[in-house]
Amino acid sequence: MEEPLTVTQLNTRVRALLSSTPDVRDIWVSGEISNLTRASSGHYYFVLKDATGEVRCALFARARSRVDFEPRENMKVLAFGSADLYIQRGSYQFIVENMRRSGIGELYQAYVELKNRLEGEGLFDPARKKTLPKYPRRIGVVTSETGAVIHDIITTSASRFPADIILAPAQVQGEGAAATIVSGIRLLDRFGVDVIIVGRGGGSLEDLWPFNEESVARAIFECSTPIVSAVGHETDFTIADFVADVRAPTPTGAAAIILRDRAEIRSQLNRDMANAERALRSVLDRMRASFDVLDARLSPERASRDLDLKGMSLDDWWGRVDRSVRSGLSEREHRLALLSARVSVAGASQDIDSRRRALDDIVERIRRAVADGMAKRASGLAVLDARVSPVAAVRDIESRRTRLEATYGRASPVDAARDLRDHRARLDSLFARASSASLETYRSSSSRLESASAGLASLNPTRVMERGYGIILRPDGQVLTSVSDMLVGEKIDIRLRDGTARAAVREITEDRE
Amino acid sequence: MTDMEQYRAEVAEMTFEKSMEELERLVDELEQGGVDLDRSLEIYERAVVLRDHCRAILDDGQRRIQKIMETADGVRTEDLRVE
Repeated sequence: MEEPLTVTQLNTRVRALLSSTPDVRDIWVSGEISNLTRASSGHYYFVLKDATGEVRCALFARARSRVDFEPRENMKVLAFGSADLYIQRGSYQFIVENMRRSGIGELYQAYVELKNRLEGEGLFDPARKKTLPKYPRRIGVVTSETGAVIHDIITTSASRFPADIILAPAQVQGEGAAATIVSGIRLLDRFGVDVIIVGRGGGSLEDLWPFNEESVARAIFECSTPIVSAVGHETDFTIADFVADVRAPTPTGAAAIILRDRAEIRSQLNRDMANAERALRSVLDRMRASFDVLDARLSPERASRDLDLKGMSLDDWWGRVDRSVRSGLSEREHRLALLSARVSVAGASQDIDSRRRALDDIVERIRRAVADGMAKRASGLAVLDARVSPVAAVRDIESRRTRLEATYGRASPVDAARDLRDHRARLDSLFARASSASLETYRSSSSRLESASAGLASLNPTRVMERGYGIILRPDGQVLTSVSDMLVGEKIDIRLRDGTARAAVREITEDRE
Repeated sequence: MTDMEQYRAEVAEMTFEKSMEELERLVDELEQGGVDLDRSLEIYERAVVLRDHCRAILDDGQRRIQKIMETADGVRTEDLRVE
């Protein structure tokens, strides 16, 4: 009998045998993962099985890095590796060097077929999509009670618009999951919420499969409440995502899409109120301005304000008064000059000549009248004489002639000349008086003018401006008294007490009556 | 009941969305100008009522987190505790 082998020696020999047999080295094995454990070292241990058998597998951390998906329970895979023996246990295992998912082809085919069919029926039609409420008070969620989804939604929504959250627990993967999702959607729709989130975290195509089921797609489509889908990660699109009214990339994203940030809403409220306050203030300012005008009309201040306003146009008026007073004065001066000219010596002698002629006339008329009268008396005397005595009549005539001569003797040319000298003196004094009267008139006109000026000065716009009023002028100097004469953008000059400011019209608001 | 009291009662029944819409509409009207002083003051008072209503909703931190279940006895809700 040969010396017996130790157990370890046996296992070592079998291991060497396995290692040298190409039939079990670098081969592909297909199966479904079960009893999956992940060690803290990063190694994965699981059983790969098919309908009739199973084999222990090890996927070491180094090999795991070559696998582009997370191995999961029940996942169908193709594993590449070699059979090996675990000496301590004497059991053989398959050491996985790489792994691919299998069965994807069939699933993907089903996915594409369903997607095309539902799309053809119009389930993805953007026009059929419902609008999300701006401020939902109650949010329904269809997802697992234990998953991260509900947790993320509750956490994210805490700082947002306050809304109740009602969870309809559902199974989100595996057999029967689709039915629980469908009943969750229908229950919430019946119960009454403002919006529904349907979701789960990311996973394999198989994991997400319930969200690719026709029953779920139709439940979403038929739901009268708007639905936001939040399935998987950014890159995974399920059929539920296509049918939903809005697709959120993640559950957190769904909460953010549905609920506006509370601080943002608050600042919008504040903005609205600030706008309302500003608008109200401008109405009040406008009213106050109108009241001021009314008030002035009804109060003693009215007069002064009225005067102030009138003072604005007094510039013009003052100019007219000035001109008219001045022209009145110059007329008077002109007349005065005329008078003075007549008072001059030449004028006077001219005047005297004409008066002399008039006197000559008078003297001649008197002479004739006297002669006439004397002839009449003489004839009358003669009649009397004849009746009384011729001698008495003659005497009488003589004495009368003497008296007549005494009376009319001054009517001689010499006397007339003397008379004229008297006239001239009287004329001189007359003209002197006329002249001084004119001067007097002139003086009093001047003084009235002065007092008028003083009165005007108090109404002078400059004085008004000292009180804070301004004059608005066009750059060409034209005074503006109405906003209807202004144009937006037009340059205007604001003349105040001490200077002028150039400004531009930004807005015109006409007061309403 | 004054007009403003009645309005306050109306606003109390309004949803947040309706209140915000109403507020924005009123602010628009006020900003358009052309309203007299009485109407302006009324609009402003209403805006204040709406703002207070909206703030009250925003400040109400009491939100319910529940789960809903359908059993043989009917639909039932209960508070949900999520860690």
